[in-house]
Amino acid sequence: MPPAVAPAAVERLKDLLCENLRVTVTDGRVFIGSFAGTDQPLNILLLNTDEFRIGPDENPDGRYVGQILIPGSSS
Amino acid sequence: MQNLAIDELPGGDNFSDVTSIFIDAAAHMEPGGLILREGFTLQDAMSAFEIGEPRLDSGMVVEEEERPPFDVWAPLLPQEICWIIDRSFSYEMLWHAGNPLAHTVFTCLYALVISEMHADVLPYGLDHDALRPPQLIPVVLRASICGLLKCCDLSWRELSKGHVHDAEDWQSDKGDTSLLEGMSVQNVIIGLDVATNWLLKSKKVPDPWVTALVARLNLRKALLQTIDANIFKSTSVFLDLINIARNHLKTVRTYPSPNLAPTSAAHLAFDPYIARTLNSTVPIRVIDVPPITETWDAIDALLDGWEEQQLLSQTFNVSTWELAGNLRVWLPNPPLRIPYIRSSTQSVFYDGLLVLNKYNPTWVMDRFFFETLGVSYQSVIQFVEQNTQSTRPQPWADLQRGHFKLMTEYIRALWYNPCRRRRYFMKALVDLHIYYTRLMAVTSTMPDLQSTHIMKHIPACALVWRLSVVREVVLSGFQLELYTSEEKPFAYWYASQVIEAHLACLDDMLLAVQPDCLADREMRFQHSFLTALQAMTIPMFALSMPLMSFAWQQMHANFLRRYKWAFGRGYDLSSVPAVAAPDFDNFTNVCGRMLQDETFSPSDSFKFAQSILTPLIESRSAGGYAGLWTDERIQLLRNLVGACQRLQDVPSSMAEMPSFDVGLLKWDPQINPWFPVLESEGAERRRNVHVRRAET
Repeated sequence: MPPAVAPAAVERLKDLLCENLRVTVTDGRVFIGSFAGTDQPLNILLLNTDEFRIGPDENPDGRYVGQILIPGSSS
Repeated sequence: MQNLAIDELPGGDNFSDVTSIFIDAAAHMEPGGLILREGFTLQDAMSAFEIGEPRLDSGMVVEEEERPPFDVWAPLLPQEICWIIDRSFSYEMLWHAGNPLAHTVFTCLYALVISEMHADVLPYGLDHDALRPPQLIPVVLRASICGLLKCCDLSWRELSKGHVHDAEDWQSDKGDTSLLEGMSVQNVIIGLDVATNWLLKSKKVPDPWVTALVARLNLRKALLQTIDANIFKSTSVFLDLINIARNHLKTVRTYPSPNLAPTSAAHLAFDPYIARTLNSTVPIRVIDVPPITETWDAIDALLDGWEEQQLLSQTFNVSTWELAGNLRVWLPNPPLRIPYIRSSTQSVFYDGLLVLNKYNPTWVMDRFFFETLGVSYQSVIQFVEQNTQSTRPQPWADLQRGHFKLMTEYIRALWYNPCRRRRYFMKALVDLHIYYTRLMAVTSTMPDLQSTHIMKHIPACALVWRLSVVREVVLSGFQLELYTSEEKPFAYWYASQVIEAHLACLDDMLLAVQPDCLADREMRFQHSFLTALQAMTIPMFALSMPLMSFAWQQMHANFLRRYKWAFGRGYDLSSVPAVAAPDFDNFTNVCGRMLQDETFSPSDSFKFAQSILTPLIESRSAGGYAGLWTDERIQLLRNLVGACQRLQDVPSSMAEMPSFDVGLLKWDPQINPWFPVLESEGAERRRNVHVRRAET
């Protein structure tokens, strides 16, 4: 049996792997890191990530947080 | 959260919205399906920090932790400034106690914005409030916080020399935050002086707060100058600085800061959750700030440590250094010095090049033979060279190099934390044995000398050193509460065996050493001290025997694990067997004999020990090298007498042993590091624990 061909939508997402993603989470923080993977509930894995805050506690230089998992429900 | 346009978000405008790509892909993925980049596995993914999980996500702000924004220029009362300074002292001492900077010093928000706190950038239009002079922040508070950060910076530099261990003794993580590394000490001191002058001359701050604030600034200045001082450059100046700091500390204690109302703006100066904005991966822990008197006590202990360091810098007997280091561990008071003092004391002894800032390896070797035997190193070399029957040159240079390394590391290790100290000692025992065998090899090339000849005892110098380290390894196991109940009888018996070998060695050496020289006096003290200690360890062996299960096979396996330092490969390389090596077979034989010994009396043995120690205390005989530590050495003897007295009601013969309640024995290192007390409270619980252990 030939291997199942991934749908085009999934292929488009795979093209984003290793790209820098910027993800905003519900508590107001923004994470910028290299996209390493995801799953069906859209938990997002980022590598070499910097965390940014916006608003009164803003940190324009960011804070390095390394490898993180952003749950699908938070982004 | 606020809705920001895409180009207002951090990271620039080179991003496009890919949300729909994710949603479309999710709709086509199977449940449980994964998309991972090449080479990245599910296992790799497990080590990611989960955002939104409070224990892992250090940047997450939960509702109850939300606080109003910090305003660096919010006007404050003098007493509030005083309170902030006191709290910053508390956090500094908490950092010295081993907590991360991000949970202590950096929780003071002024420390993070110190570069913005200059008088020149004081905003215009601040309300005029005579009770809250605006200069208090850029002049007084800034000077104090700069002093705090500079003290931390200089301490950090000392701590990072490698004499104490990061993450074990202290926490080095700065979270990418400045400790004013680029600012000179002189500059900080000028700032403190300017602040003091402003307080005294401006008349804008009423008493008692002007006195309280000046005392705090002066205390900070004295602490900074002491940390920065070179102890060898001028010891009297160093001591003066310590005394000045003590005086200011006294004033600070007399003028305490008030308890602030919960609504005070000063509370906003500290954010225990600040680590969430720092580059630190340490999980956030809110540290309770102790009562301020504990902080002043900690500073007092720091000053005591410096004072002892100043005395040590003027102590040119290596044996006295050894004694002082041991007393810090053997006596409960003062408690273990903070890592900064333990590190800087090691730096005072050996800076990586010279010992005590001026002595080379030959001096260390010379002191060794002089302090142990009363002869110089030169006389040893001369005698051996004149009497050797070997045509091969003696390896003096090698011996000297090895000795220097061993001795400098050994003295430094006395200021390690107790666990690492014991581990170092266990490792050093092999090197000490090899050193002993090398000295044996040197003397074996000479004709046999009589016991009364001092040069016969050259190898014994290394042997007594090694035996004292073995004894410390065994006894420190009690202090560190390492031993299970079943291991205690062997440890006491083995300690008595090591002491026996040590005493035999001292007996021989005393035949040759010149009477009443320092080495002789020290040896005689050691002889009495060890005889008493042996008279305490033997009955403890007998009394703790009921703690054993007598399952010899299991006990032997435990023995091999506990005493693995005695069976290392290093010993196989030596042709000379190790003196007083632990022997489990012999122990099993002795156990049987001890139970049937009709002449041995445990209680009399403690009385005998007491009868040896008491005259030493009364005559203040503290050996040849106690020097300025005489009182503390006498205190050690008193503590041993106390241990004997607490154990005087033990059975008077072995025949009474079956009726002895072993549950009465309670080991508490706070009372005595090596010996238990008899305590009826909790005896049943302890007895049951012992019995259960023996049954399993």
